[in-house]
Amino acid sequence: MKTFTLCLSFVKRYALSICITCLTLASGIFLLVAMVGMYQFQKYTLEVYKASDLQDAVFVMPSFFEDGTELRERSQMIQETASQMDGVSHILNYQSSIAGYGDHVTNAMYWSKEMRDNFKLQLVEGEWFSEDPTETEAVIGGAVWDGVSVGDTVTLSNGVTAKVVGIMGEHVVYPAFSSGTNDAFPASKLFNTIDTMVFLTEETIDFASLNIKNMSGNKTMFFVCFADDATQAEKDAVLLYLESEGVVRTYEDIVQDSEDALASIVTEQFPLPLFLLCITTIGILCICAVIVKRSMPDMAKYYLLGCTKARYTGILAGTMACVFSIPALLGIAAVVLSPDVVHQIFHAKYIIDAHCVLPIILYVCLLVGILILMPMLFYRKYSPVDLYRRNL
Amino acid sequence: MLKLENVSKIYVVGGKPFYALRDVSLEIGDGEMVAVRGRSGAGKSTLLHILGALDTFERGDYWMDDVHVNELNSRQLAKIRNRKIGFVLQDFSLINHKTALYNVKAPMLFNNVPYRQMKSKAMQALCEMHMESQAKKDVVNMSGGQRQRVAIARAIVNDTPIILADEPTGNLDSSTAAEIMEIFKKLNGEGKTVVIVTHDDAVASYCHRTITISDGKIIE
Repeated sequence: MKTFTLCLSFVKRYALSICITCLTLASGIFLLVAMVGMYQFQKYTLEVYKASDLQDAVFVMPSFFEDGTELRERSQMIQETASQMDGVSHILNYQSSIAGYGDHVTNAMYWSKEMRDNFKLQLVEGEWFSEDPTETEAVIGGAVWDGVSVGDTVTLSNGVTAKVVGIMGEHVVYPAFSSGTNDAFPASKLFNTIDTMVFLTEETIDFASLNIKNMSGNKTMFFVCFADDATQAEKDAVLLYLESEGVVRTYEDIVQDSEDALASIVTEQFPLPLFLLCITTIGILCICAVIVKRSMPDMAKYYLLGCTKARYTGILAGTMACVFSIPALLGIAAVVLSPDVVHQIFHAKYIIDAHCVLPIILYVCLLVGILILMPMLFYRKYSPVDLYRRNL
Repeated sequence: MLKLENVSKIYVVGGKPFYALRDVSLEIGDGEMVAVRGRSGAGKSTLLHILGALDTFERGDYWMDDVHVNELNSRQLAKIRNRKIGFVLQDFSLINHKTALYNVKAPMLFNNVPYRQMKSKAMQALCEMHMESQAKKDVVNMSGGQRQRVAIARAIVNDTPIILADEPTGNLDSSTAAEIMEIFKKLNGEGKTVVIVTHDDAVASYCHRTITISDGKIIE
């Protein structure tokens, strides 16, 4: 408590400016971490998309029609028509459901063999489903599955069991086929992040039996994959038909849209938090320089009362380091611990992990280092007795 | 008891040694009230800094009761300053942007007085100086006499046996100076050892003994 009293004495006079600076620092770091998270999601999904075998496929988003046809039915009709056209190999779509696992709820997905072949989501352990599974196989991802290893059997809702053959990579993303806009459809729109996921083989399971909530059928959006031997004329005919039914994006379009989205984050979204951080850093250094300079005569006074120079300098340095590192860490924690809040603010998907937090942590460490060194360097050449003599 | 034996304090000025104190030996007994006099630059303040464990010296020995001060490290010297010595200085050396109460509590930040007792002990010291009504006033808004009373309250709050005062009345008018000297006399009467550096004959007249210093040497 005594040390705290002394700490408070250093900063109390500058409370208002410190509060404003801390608020700006926390906001700047909050924004920057969130922006880096968004950038990371865009980048990661583009990498996954590029790694997938979709170079010769087009993404289709059927348009709404005013004739009253339900979009799902219309999509189904387009898929059936497209699949019968020359030059089309297959249609990529999937089904999803909500399944129970113990006390938890998890997203469950059925992927056709074509989906598995085309979307090569990264696994950290095991492999994707075997060619001819004799039992239901599962690929899992997310914290819900902590402790489950490849080879284990998991029991889902309605007593459905599945053998775990693979565990998803660092980020649990899946092709969500969310809606894009007519103008741009970056890879990030194709994927979503999720806390928990299980992919199942359909061959040996009644997928609907898993359902504990609502079963959503095929997505309205889908990929049309061309056959290897499809001619350009056949492809053009398919594209002409699909474009008449909705928005069509080729592989190149999606890659280009993704790169544009990444560039947009860098040029439009990063500048604000970076500007805030620059201003705040200058502000912090100025405030601390003033505190250090104006506290110097007090060192001689506290020295008379039984405080050593090292202790005084240490407490001053520690105070400044704490005062400015706490809001910085709170800014990081707010993003990491409140993903829902961040999602509501920015309406964007993001991935927060060590890669995006580490640079910010390094910045905070550097700032703290400077704040600790500042009084040490400043006071180094003055002894308390010198100060006492100078003041007299 | 404070005892210096052949103490020399040497500064290097322009590459040459300058003796601020040269082979000073003196002994100040417990409960004494001693004036240290001399012209400007004679070495009075340097002597006080050494007696107060504020400054080091190059030669000689310093004993405070049974403690050989030469052998103490900076933490031990700080402890001596906190527990044994109260300082009253010409410029008051108060923390200007703080209240009188904070200033008097300040020495207790560095010892083992429980935090909860700090306020009551500080108020008691301020009461002794008749400054209790000014406890929450910033010292920067006080008169010189009031500030010096706060400084004395700060010097006695840890119940230190020694008071070292450097020109304590230098910034005060004569009537306030007399009041301050009465306080020192009272403290001495309570058994505290008081050493006062002064130019002023009137101040010196309150003391039992006067030490005169010139060119770093004690001459009487």
